[in-house]
Amino acid sequence: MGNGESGVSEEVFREYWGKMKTLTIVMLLLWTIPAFWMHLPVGTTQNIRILGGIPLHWFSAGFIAVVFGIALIFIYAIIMDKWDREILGR
Amino acid sequence: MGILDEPKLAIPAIFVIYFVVVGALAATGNTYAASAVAVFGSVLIYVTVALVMRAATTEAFYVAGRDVGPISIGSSIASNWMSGASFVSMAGAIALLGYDGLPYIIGWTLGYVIAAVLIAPFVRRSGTYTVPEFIETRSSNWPVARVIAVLMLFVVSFTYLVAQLVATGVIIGRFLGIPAVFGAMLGSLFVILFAGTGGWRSVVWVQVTQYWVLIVAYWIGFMLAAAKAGIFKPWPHIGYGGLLAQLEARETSFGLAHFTQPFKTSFAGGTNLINWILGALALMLGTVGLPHVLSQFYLVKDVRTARYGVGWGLTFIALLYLTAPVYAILARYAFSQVWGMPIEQAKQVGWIQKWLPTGLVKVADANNNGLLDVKELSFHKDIVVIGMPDMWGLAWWVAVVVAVGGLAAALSTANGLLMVMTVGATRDIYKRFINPNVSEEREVWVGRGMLVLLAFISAFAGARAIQDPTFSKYVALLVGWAFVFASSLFTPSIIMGIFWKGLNRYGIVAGMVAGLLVSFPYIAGVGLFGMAPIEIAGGKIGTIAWGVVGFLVHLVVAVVVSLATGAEKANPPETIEFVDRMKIPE
Repeated sequence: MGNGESGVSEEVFREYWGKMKTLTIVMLLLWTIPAFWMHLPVGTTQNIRILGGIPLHWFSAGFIAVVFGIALIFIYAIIMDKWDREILGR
Repeated sequence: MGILDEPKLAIPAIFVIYFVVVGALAATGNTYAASAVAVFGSVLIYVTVALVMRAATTEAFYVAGRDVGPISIGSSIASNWMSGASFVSMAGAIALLGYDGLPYIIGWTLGYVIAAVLIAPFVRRSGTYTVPEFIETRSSNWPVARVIAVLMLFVVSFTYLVAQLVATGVIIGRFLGIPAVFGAMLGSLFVILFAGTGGWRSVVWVQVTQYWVLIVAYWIGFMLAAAKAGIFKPWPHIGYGGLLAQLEARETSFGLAHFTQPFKTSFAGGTNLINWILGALALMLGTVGLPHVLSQFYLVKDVRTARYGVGWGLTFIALLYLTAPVYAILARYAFSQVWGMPIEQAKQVGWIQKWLPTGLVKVADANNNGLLDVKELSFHKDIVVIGMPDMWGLAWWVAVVVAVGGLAAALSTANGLLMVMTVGATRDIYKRFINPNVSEEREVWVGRGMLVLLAFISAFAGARAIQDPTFSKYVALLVGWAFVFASSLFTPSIIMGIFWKGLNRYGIVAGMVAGLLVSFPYIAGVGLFGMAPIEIAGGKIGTIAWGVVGFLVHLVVAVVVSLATGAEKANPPETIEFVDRMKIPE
């Protein structure tokens, strides 16, 4: 960034930030699955029973969606952590 | 202070003393004394932690010295987030609302994904100390933006805090048989003790301790009830299918719609799938704009910790939130067992007999047929968690454990809220506008003074809320609406402020004002004055769901106004540098 604070050149930073923006957009799109898309077919999923009698629509909102969200955060953290190490040469 | 300078000695020591004393009292059979000591003794543990972690620098007071690690900040994020209401009322709300209450589960969790990806790492890297400071810096040092942000912070945090003190008062009062008003006063006194010692540095470690207390307490009651109900097949969270089938069979035989059937009732005044989804989304977007949520991201060691910390935070929140729906089914099953019973026999059922005098359960033979019909058994949502030990015939001490957990949940959120307001009053008002050249030592003392003052004001308001149902109703409404205000006033500009250099001060202000103008009249009209909610595709849009509209309007107005006023060109070089700095890896 030219301020010398992290010793990263302008060009390398641009590439890093470009990759990061793509990852951010992908993550947000994936986030719409538990936050939105998963719950739309409630008319169908309420008739599907899983795990010996739990209705799927209920289990989706009361369990799967949240676990999905946790997984997204950790995946993001792991990928970003790897890129941070690469760019800083550690 | 001797032993208090040795965290690794003092904290385990106080836990050991606690268990020995409570255990000894319980062993002598004096259950009242054991309960009282268990509840108040837990507070003594938190005070010890606060004292051990005490500090007198402004860096420690405002941002806990910025050295909290991932698992610790995760626990602190979770207990800061989960209030007394989450602990005591969440399962009950689902027991009452069924599927229609699940927006709370996804809405109050998935916002943390947005926080992890779009906000937390950048806020940490911004170098600011508070959210209002962040907003002022990002709007090119425009003080008005900071003042608006502080006002918003006070409105939201204050109403939230009052709700916590009410919960604290009710919990202390219910278990020890003292007036709830007195309990609320005690609650605010406890919080002064935790926060006055070292500001955020003490509070964050107290919150870490309180998280583990509350989650263990929640799970003890749950696991024991689950074992009695036989839903370890192989694990309660995925093994309740059989129990649910029995519950549904009862429901069918009493001519009821299934508990899990969607859209039987309303959510925040709205109906149908569209309101369900928008309501959940508004809670998510609001979560990440709440000042006391954002404040946690300032306390972490580095950007890496911010990312992982949010992951742990949501994991720890999920331990409670994913348990609540199962809790609800356990309770509803217990309710279904008394349906159709002769009324006198029902009144003799252990948990009904015990909780009838409190009014949390009501039994009335309205049609005089001598039987307890479904509609004749009504319950307050708090009974689900509080009454669970009795419903499933668990040992007396389980109720005490639940009380200790509920108190931890209420106090941990109260701590955080009081700290956010204290820092707002000290750093964003006193130091920024009144005395910028204050010495560090004096600044910390001013902070402590603000803390005590704010605690007294909120204790007074909490006492008022307990005694005056009208006042209490407004507090409850404001807590729900806080999410609408946060998503319409803050979230869009904070996110765009990080990712789009073109957002300038005109855009930020126009967006905030537009968000307020769109959200406030609607929620006041629908929520207070009986205005008919807008309908989209046959679904009524409730007050909380409206938060999404406020968010979108803010977003669009901020973009349009920024573009019309020169976008990036209207930002001075310092602002551009501020945005760039947040993105550099470290």
